Amino acid sequence: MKYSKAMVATSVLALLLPLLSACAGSPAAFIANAEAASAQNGSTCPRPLVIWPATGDNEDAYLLDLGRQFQQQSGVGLELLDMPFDDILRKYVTAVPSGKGPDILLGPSDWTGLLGEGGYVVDLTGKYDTGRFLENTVEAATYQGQLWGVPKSFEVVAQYYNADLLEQPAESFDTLKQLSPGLAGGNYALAYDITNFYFSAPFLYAVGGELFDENGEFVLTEEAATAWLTELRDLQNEAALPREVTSESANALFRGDNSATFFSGPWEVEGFRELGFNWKVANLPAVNGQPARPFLGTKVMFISSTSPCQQAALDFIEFSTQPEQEVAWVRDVNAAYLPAARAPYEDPVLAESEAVQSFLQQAETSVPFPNAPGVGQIWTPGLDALTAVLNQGADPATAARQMVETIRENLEVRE
Amino acid sequence: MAIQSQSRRGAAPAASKAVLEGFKGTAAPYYYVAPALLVMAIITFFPIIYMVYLSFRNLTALNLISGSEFVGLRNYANVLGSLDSTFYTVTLRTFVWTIINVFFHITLGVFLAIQLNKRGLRLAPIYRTLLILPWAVPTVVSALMWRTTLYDYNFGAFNQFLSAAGLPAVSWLQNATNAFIAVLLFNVWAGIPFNMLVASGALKSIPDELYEAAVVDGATPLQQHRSITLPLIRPTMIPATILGIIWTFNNLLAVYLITQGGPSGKTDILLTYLYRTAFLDNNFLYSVASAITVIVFFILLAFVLLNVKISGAMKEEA
Repeated sequence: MKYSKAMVATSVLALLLPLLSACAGSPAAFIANAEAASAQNGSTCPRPLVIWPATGDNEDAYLLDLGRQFQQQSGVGLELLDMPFDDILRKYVTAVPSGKGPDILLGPSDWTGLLGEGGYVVDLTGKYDTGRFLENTVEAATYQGQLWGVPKSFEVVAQYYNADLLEQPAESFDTLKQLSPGLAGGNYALAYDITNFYFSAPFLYAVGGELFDENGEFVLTEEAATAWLTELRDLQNEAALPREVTSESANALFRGDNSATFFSGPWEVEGFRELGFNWKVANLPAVNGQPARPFLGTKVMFISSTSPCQQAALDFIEFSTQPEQEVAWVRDVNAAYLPAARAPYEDPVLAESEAVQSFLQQAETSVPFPNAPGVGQIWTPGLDALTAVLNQGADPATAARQMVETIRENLEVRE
Repeated sequence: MAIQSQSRRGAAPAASKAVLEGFKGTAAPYYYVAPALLVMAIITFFPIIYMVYLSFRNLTALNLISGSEFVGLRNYANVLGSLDSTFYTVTLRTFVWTIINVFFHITLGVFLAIQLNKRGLRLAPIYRTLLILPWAVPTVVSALMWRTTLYDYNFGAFNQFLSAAGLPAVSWLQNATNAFIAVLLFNVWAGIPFNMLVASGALKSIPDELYEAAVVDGATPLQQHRSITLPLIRPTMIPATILGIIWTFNNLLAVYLITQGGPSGKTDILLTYLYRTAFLDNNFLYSVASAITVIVFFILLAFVLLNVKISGAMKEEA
């Protein structure tokens, strides 16, 4: 059998391949790089700055445009590397210790604890004055009293409604339940990514639930989780919501005039504006008279701890958060963009933008998104509980117990 | 066939023996092998050793820079001991997944190859091309296509057909059993072409005279396949099967892209479980994931050695 040896080799190789996937970078290179970095701390940078943004296509183009303006002013250019959202943090954590990776990371504030505690980003405590930013957004970039980044913008989930189908936004779950009989066949009162914990969490807070306390301790009770899952199940049944929708299919239903309302964030606005149908934004519906409280997610600009261009990076961050730049972002890129800096809100572009004002109003009843290192542990157990109750008919109490236990266990394994 | 292979066998070992004798006592062969070994050492052996090393530490993203600590067998204890015995369920599911997949890959692959190889089949190249297509499309693309255009509850083709036929919609991806069938269906579909190609190649090397002789002897088509086709494609199909087992066992994309292991981890196989442990929800449990990988490695090693022993496929025929 002639192929035997080749086959042994192939089998061995095939066996070894998966092993490669679990390997991480070596920490040894880091210290040398950090020293080089601090020695070179000037306002110049021998090469263009590199930014990894967790943003959409429109925003990428605008960031690059900002980079060109910055280059005229300072002589330092900006390069941008786009990648899928799910990959950014994983790649950043692997790249930074070996001195690779970007100078600036623009990412959600729930990464703050991990990046700060892990030593991946520059500690700005006492080095940067955050007085001109909204307090909530500064808190999002702060973990255990230390400032790990500069807030850029924030976002909350709110209610989009189709003003051709509804005169008023849905004020409560009860309104939604009464709506569906009056709608034409094939139309729904509401479609949203209901099993996604991020979109359904506002109602957990409405029924009195809480995830983490002020010290970052996990405090969700089974009772609150049960009440929350029960409300959502009743909503799904009594308001006859479409089953098993994803973000994409809910969006498609809303765009197609098949759903009167849709819960999502400001990133949808551009797509809707191009279509030009009559949509409006309002607060999420209340549950039993209690307001829904969405997460207030902040986008933070972090500076890599191994970047040789930290001062230039900070200069760019300062430049990009000036009122002029932020107003232009709202005017040209996203009509519902909410800057973290205070000054832009005095500009007529923002003051008169219906979308900006609606999301701002929703932000008033929001909950700061936790940013402790273990915060990611809530997503999958949350998804599992929602899926079990809403798609598989599981008992809310059982699913709630499972969810609370799993999150607690996962948080323990990490310690 | 018997005559042919005997003549081939007669020459080969003698020649290679002579070559080996010639090398004895010289360093030359080591120099020839060195470059390849060096590359292997860097890209294969080092990462493996490093991973085994990691599996005894507590490396996460939080101490990647500040340095991890030695924790002994704690990661192995965590994986094998606690965690709701998830690991065992997932391992068992992975075996079921592998056996079902490989069974259908091989049987359907060989069946289709025999059909395509029939003499006088018109348009055979066209059929062959069509049947190979699933393999030509990158798994990432086809898996996402299946998930969104076929399995989607509201817009997917399967449920559209059902509703057109007046039947209730089926929850393809949110019901544990259905979701597992859904990923199996996809992976069987995606894996047949490779085995069909391998089997086609093997079939082409069987001389027609054997079948002619069998017909003269009065053998039925079924007897021909059993006594001529199957024994003669066996040497080719066994390596393909072993490779298929390893590939399927280590398959990440099909499950990860279609269900992400869901609902609630009920379609997880070892590799997706490992990936989710390491990276999902910003876990970065590098060391726990390394421990899982080491365990998976030994399971596969045992599996392959057993398979080789049973089939005798690796034996050098003298």
